Amino acid sequence: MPLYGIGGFCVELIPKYPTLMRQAEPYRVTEERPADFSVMPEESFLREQKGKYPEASPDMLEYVFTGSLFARAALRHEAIVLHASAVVLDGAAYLFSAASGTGKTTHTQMWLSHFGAERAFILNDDMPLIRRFPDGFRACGTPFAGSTGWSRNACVKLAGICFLERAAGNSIRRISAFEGVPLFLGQTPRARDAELLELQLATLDRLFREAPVYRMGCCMSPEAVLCAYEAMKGADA
Amino acid sequence: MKIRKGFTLRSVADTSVVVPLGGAAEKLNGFITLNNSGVMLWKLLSEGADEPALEQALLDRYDVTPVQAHEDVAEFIGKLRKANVFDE
Repeated sequence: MPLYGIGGFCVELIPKYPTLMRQAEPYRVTEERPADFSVMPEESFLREQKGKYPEASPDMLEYVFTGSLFARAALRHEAIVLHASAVVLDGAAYLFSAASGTGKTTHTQMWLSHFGAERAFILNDDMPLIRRFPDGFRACGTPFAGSTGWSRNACVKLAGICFLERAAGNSIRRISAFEGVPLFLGQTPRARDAELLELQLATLDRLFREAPVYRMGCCMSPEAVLCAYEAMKGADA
Repeated sequence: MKIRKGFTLRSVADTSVVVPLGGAAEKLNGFITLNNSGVMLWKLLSEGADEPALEQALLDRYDVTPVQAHEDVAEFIGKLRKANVFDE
């Protein structure tokens, strides 16, 4: 059984189509060890999804639904995925989350242009994993990286999470759980049964107590990078 | 005004959030958090209280005028309705 090391978990999966094969390859591990969990969508489930999304290719369905199985499995291990573009700068991860089309990728690309490849890289462009380790929360690359596919197999200290909105200018502020929890829940796959929901909320509870969360109105100008970075760097919960 | 089956309140980092269980997940239109008075109103609603009863509860427990109580309840109901929390 092929094994993959994703976010520090040992994950069993068997990619059949090119996109998932290509995306998962950098995470492949060769040593034999017991898997933490397995993420293999059932054929019957994928056929059912094909009925719901007839325009989606089997390749895309495998990629997307393996990702959502991964997201669900992670909830059992104090970890949660967020629909976000994650950029790493100087060894700390900055996550920018928003509805599709807001400009997450554009924003994190501007970080790369501003700080350069020596200091910055994209950890994951669509579904980074946020996981609690003994020394605190870290953000991790996953193979599930949306349409750009940008991901890196790394786990990095979480600097902060920022919810982006388009605006005429740039402004950022730290937000409380009261404001942030609904935003987060809106950008992570919904836990559909009671047990998973409790696990999801327990991880969120810890995350909101330990990690700084922000809301930013931004335009797609390079100044947006400094506005976000100045506010988010070196913050403590 | 009846809260749909499956919607319930949970606490995350000392914040009360309305979450859907089971089939209710398909219905929810955006997550909402409630402050202390919102939590009180939610509890009363789930026990079957109507709008005048909610307004009275605000008047009894908070320092608000009848006009404010009326507006606050309307805003609260509007927020829940927008999230598609009611079975109506």
